[in-house]
Parts: sequence; C-alpha cells; structure tokens
Amino acid sequence: MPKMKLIIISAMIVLFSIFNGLQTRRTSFGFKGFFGTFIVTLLFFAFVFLFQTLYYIVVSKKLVSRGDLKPTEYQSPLDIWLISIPFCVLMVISYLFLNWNVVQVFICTTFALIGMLLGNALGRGGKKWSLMTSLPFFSGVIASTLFTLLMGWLV
Amino acid sequence: MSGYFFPSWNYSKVYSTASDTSIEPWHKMVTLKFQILYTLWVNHQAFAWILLFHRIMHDNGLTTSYVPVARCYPAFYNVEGMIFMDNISKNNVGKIKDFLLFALNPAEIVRKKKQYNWFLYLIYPAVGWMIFFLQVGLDKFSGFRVFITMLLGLIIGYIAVGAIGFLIAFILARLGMDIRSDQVITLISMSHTYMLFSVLLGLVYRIFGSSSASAFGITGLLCTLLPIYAGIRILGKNKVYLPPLLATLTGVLLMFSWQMIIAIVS
Repeated sequence: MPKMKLIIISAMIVLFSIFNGLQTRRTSFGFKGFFGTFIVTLLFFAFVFLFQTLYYIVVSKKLVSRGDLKPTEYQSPLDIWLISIPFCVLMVISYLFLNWNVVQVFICTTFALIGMLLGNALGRGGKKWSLMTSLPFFSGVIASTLFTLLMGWLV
Repeated sequence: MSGYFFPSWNYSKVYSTASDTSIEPWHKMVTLKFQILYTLWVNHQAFAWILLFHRIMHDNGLTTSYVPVARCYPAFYNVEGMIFMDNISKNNVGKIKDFLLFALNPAEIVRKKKQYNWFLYLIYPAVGWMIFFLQVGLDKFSGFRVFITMLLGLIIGYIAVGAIGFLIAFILARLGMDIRSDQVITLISMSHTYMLFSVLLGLVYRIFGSSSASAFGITGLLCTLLPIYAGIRILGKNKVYLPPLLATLTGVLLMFSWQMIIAIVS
C-alpha cells in the first residue's frame, strides 16, 4: 500500500515538473527550453517532499514516544500528500483543456497546503505550541515563496 | 479534537472559560468575541508581514508576481480558523455562530446530523463566484459585459454548486454512506470560505493596481477542496482513495463551470 502511494506521489511530482517545463516553452524570456525548468522543478519538488515527509516522520515518532501524540491520531504523511491528486489533475485539465497557463500557482498552493496539513497533523492533541510541530506549516509557505522567486528569476 | 495547531497559545485560557458550562451566557459571548478578534488580529498580523515583505521584493525587482500572498493568506487563515472554530464548536451556539462555525470548519457539517437549509447556504459560494467573475470581467471586458459576467457568476455559481452537491451526495449514497444531499451541498457551499477570502484579496490587489484574478481564483478553488476532502474523509475512514477522488471530481466540475461562464460571455 505505501509503495502504491509513493508511486502515485512520484508520478504527480513528475507531472507537475513536465507541465511547468511545457509552460516555460511558451514564454519569450529567460529559460525558453523545456528541460531547464523541468529539472529545477523536479529537484525542488523532490526536495520539499523528502524534507516535509522525513521531518514529519521523525517528529511524530518523537511526539508519540513522549506521549504528546496519540498513536490513534497519527496520520500517514503519504495519506496527507495524496490530497495533491486533485491539484495535479486540475493542473493538467486547466493546462490542456482550458488553456490556463498557471502551473506555478498549482505547485505553490500544493506546497503551502500540504505544509499546513502536515503541521495540523503534528499539532493535533498537543498541549503547548512549539516550533517543532509548526515547522511543516512554515516550511510549506517558505517553499511556496522560494519557488515563485526561483521561477521569477529563471523564467 | 483538542486543538490542531498552536493548541494552547493563549487559546487554552480562553477555551477553558468558554467551555465552562457553569458560567452565564454573556461570559461565553465575551470570550467568543475575544476569540474572534484575537483570530482576526493574528491573521492580519501574519498577512500584513507577508504582504510587506513581498511588496519590498516586488519593488526591488526581486519578483514580478504578487502570487505568493494569495497562497499564504488562506493557509494562515485556515489554520487559525480551525483552532478557533474547534474551540467554539463545543459551545451551544446560535444560528449566526453556527454559520461562522461551518464557514471556518465545514467538516463539522458532516458530523452534525441535522437538517440544513441548503438553498440558503448556496448564496455563500454564489457571492464568491460573483466577486471572482467581477475581476475576470474587469480583466477581459468593459462596460455592461462586466456586469453580465458578474451576474452569470452569481447565478451559475448557485446552480453549479447545488448540482455538484447533489451528484456527490448521490455517489456517496451509492457507496453506502450515511449522508444526505442537504449535508453535502452545505459542506461544499461552506467550503467556499477560503475561495471567498482569496478572491476578496484579489480584489484588494486589483484596487492597488495589480490584476491576477486567475491566481487568486485558482488558489481559492484549491483551498475549497480541502474541507470537502476532510468532510468525505470523516465518512469513509478506511477508504483512502475516495476523498481525493471525489475532491478531484468536485474540482474538475467547478473548473468546467467557470469555463462555461467564460465561454458564454466571450
């Protein structure tokens, strides 16, 4: 089951990168080719995914062992990442059928919202605010802003 | 359900008073008002700093886009709103506060097994669509066509969200879930809070001379899918793929409804 989820999430990351690359081909300045943007997006997205997921796993284990997070309230990070299925499908549809070239909006919203959901899942049941449980939320927003800046410079 | 995020960051004190059933109702109201003001204050502080930071970057040529703020704000709003509404959901609140509760935590609609006036709740997303299409109209057209676009946004928004709600309710019922169509329509309607905030923000940006209606609209649309996902997840805990698939279906149908409006007025 986790293998299947990982395959779906990886496929989504590749799709996001492909469409961001395709969108870049339509611009008349900066990176004009497909591969530059494709590779940058793929690496950036993979890094955000790995960082968020691994951080979530490590911190949730710590919280469970301390008794700050009930094992029954633990959510798999891959389940949380699956919410990006609608975002990915909508991105493909909007690009192919509606001709809306806003792939970056979809990617950045995914970063921000997944970060928020991971932060929520870590904070659930906690009794005190802590930076440790809130970091996924902030890192999602930061990744979103950084990605826009990166694309602003490259494309 | 004791808090999602920043669980006891001043909220615990407020909540411990608010949930104490032995105190008089007006005390509850005071704490409720305090919670509303506090939530708004925290939100606007966070938003204001991001806005300022982004404005500085934009003015110094570091970015050409205003998009990040559109994404950050609903995220801040959502988290704060969920904690706040999680806190007041345990109080016995009236109709207006019920509305507030559902607006900020729509998944609660699925938990509460009561009858909803779905045809009234549908006005809420329709207003969101109207504001979005006002911006689309201002971007694409001029004069009377702007008004027509806005009006179509209102009417088709009302009809489309209702129809999508009936369809999702039908699918869920076929899958053997204990849910009524009025609950699903109200859930989808109230999930539009995030979109409403996002498009209002887009309107503010427009007033200050930067138009990015599609970015704000799409951000709002994606945020709308989260509570729908959460609501369906409550119904089918063992069905991992059902919430994302139904959220996808809802998003696709909403998006094609938008395109339909644009096609009609173009």
